[in-house]
Amino acid sequence: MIPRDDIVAGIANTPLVALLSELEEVKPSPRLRPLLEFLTDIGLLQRKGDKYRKAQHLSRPYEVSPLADAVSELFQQIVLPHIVAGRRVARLTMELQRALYAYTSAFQNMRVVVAQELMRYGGLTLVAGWFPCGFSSELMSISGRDVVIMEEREELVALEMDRLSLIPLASAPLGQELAAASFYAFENLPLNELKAVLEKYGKFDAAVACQRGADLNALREAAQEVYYIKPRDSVMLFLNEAFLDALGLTRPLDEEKALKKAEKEEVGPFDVYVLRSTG
Amino acid sequence: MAVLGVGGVGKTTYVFRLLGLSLKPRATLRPGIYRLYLRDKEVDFIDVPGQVATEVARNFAKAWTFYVDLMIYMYDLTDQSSLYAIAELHSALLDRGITPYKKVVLIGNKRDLAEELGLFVEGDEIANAVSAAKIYYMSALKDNIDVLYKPLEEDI
Repeated sequence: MIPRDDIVAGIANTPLVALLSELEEVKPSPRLRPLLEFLTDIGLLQRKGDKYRKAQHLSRPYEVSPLADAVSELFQQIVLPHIVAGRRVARLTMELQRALYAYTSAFQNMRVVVAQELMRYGGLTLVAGWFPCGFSSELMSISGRDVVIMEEREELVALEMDRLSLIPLASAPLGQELAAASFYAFENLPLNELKAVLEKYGKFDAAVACQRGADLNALREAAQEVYYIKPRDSVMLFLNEAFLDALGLTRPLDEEKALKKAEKEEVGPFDVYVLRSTG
Repeated sequence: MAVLGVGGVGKTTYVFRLLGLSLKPRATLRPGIYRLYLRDKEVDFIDVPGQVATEVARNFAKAWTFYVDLMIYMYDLTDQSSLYAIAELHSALLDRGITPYKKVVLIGNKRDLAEELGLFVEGDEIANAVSAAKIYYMSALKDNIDVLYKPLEEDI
């Protein structure tokens, strides 16, 4: 369901891991400990007391995939500066935009399965935060949905806007029928400004949030059904959280309470919570 | 790249298999785009709704707004009408005076079913009519993934 080997290969191929593999032992500061714990979790280091050393059977991949390349770039340019120095990414270069875009493809199979197996046909659907899971055209083609994508940084969705422009655009929501065009729209807004989106589009049939900090109670008011998706895989969780923080995107906070009444489905290494409106 | 053909020939099954998914797809209602990484190539695969009536196909051709490196026309090896519909779709596109692709190939799908039924509709004539560079006969449902990747590897 997720190309975990590619993601781990991408991290293994960074200069940081190359450097660590040349050191006998490392005793990190409390700030760096979560990073080294993460590298231990994915098998690149091993822990000995409060120190870390390279894993005994660390093999560096000879040939890496485009996704692994993207993860290497993102780990080096975004994750590491954020964890080490608390740096945020002010401007996304085209290389980083492309790498972030490639990263969202890691979630493509999950998106397809959610759209096909869990969602009903038709209706206006809000994607509350496009990154990191990248819900978009699968909702249109597989579930016949009309889609509004809300994202907090415009550069993040620039490539998706460009790609969706290949699809003929319907001038208004189509409903459920078979069509040669799709209705899709992008809104560059903070996730807590749902009111503005509601005023423009009216109430939604569904909303999708994937490891993003949309207010689930507000989403429940705004849509008949809310799909909240959370990876269980520790690599995905760690990377997604680091990306969200470094990019200044709203990360999930205290969603457990709102999800207590949700139906829960498992899709591969993801938990999909479905909240239905009582109205 | 894009895949075009009438409804039920297996376009989305083919895309899903390329993505590594073995799901039986629902009917595709709208165009969709899937991302594949083929070695060093980024491939965006456009899957379009299947069309039954010629009139709807013509309407679809009018809405066609993209230029692709590879157009895959797909038909069902057990259904002659799905092959002839390719010619209809092709002429509907050309009627607009455009050639919206760099290269075109023809895929005859459901080879397993055709062999089982002993009913194998050859695509040579239509392939010539639409200037397809190659014809591939396959089972998107059952063939090994290497077979399914051949049109992408050989023609992009």
